Amino acid sequence: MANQDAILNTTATSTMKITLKSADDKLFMVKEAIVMEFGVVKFFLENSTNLESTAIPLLNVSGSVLGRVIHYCEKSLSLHLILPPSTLLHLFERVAELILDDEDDESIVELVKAADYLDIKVLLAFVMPSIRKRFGLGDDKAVDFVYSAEAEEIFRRRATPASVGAGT
Amino acid sequence: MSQTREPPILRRRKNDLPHDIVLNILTRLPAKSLIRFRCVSKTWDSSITTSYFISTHLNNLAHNHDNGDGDGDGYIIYMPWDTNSSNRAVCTVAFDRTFDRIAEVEIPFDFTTGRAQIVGSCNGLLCLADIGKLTTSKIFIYLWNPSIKKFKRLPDSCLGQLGLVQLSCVTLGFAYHPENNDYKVVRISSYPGMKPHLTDQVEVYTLSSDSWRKIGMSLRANVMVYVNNFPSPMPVVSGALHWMARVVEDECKSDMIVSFDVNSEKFRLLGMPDGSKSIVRFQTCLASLKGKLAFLTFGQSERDYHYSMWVMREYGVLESWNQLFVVPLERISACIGFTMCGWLLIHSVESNYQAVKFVLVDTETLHEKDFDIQQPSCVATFMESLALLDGANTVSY
Repeated sequence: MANQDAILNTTATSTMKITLKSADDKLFMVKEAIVMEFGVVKFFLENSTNLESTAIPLLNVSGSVLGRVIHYCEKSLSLHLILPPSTLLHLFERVAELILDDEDDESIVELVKAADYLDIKVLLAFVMPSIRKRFGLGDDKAVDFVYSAEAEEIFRRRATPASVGAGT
Repeated sequence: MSQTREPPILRRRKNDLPHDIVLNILTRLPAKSLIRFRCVSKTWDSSITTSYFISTHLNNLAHNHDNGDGDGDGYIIYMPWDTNSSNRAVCTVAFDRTFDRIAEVEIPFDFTTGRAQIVGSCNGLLCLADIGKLTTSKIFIYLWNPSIKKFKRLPDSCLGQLGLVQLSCVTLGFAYHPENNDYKVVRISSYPGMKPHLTDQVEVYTLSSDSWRKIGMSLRANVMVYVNNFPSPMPVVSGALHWMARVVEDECKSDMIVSFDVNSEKFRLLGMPDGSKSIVRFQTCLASLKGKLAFLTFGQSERDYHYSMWVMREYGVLESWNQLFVVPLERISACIGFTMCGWLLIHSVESNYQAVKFVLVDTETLHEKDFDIQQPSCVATFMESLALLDGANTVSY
């Protein structure tokens, strides 16, 4: 029978944890299943041996962002089980927006950039709807837009409060 | 031969039996038999189809099930969520104690491609929703009684096409209203991501009026459904439907349980169990466990995954939340069903997305067994009844 070969390291047990190290030297022990969603880490793990003891350095990501990245990655995977975006994209996106409602704009942008840098597809799918909604971007805008000068301008304008005007 | 008095023989002349005794007997028979007996005579047909007969029949069924507190031969019905407009969906009826299959039942109406849901099941009447992909505003809601082969499509909601439809999430609940012998469907439209926060809009449909009505929430705070119970039906406990919501009061957000009393149509807020607040929750579900409100979370503490369940022993009393168990999980999983006698259906995916697993857990013993369904499915209780037999605008098939 033609079985698709498991891409994962088959000697790994599902409870194995991998240690990630942020740019500011914070350590995160994360379950292998989650870490395998990080494209760059997966590549690294597949091409090295004996990694249970070493911490994988993620140079461009700070501890606070990495913590949130891991958290929302897990939330995204959980949501996949109930609202798979392959069949229910609209519902998945609405619920993802709701879950991310707690995060402020700056944090969302940090998340998207980290998800892009670390190549975490599940997280990108999870965060992009909020980026589009909050910054009024069309559906055609993909992740690379976030780095453009135009985007920087939008974020800058949003970050500075509007002139304290009429009203209370 | 001695002349002993023969006991009177009641046969051959049916009209000797008083009509009310006949009806009394009929109310104790299975629904399927009664459908056949409608053709016995005009009197039988008109008697069987009265609301009074149907509710008496239902009461008798309920009494039979009550004996032994759930030791019974109750049934469950399950249906795959993902629908395809090219083939008719099929549900499966099974025993609720063991999940052993009994029969497959074809759904008599077509779903659009996307997602379908069992909104609820009361007295053998199922409420199904055809959610599609939700890119259009239409959700089709059906009431269906497979035992008597009748269904009805509900009229469209009364909210009308607000431009906000693309941004909405719809949550549905279904309940029996015993005081009026009526059935209600509750539809909550919420608008996540809207700033300023827009409070949910609630409409109620009653079978007796065959129409929707908008109702106000009249709670101080802004209440928004927070990731509804999907795919589990909203539980009905102590005569009220319950769902999770995010409550915003003066910029302060908290998650609470909203209860909607089916009879008085009043809303109330209940707190979550204290112990659950420290868990990072991936999924929160409400359910009814042997008549009590149960709170189930799939989440994480200290980087370890687990699922946990609380039960509110005394309805409305926050201190009576009692944690039943905490079970560790190796991988991220979600609850996709819960039956009233305590089976929890868990859906998890192997890390490389190759294998999809469905596991049934008996919440009393925490014993697990694999459930061999091919696709994720909605689960609900089921029984045979005559509900909807007296409904207006129904379709027989």
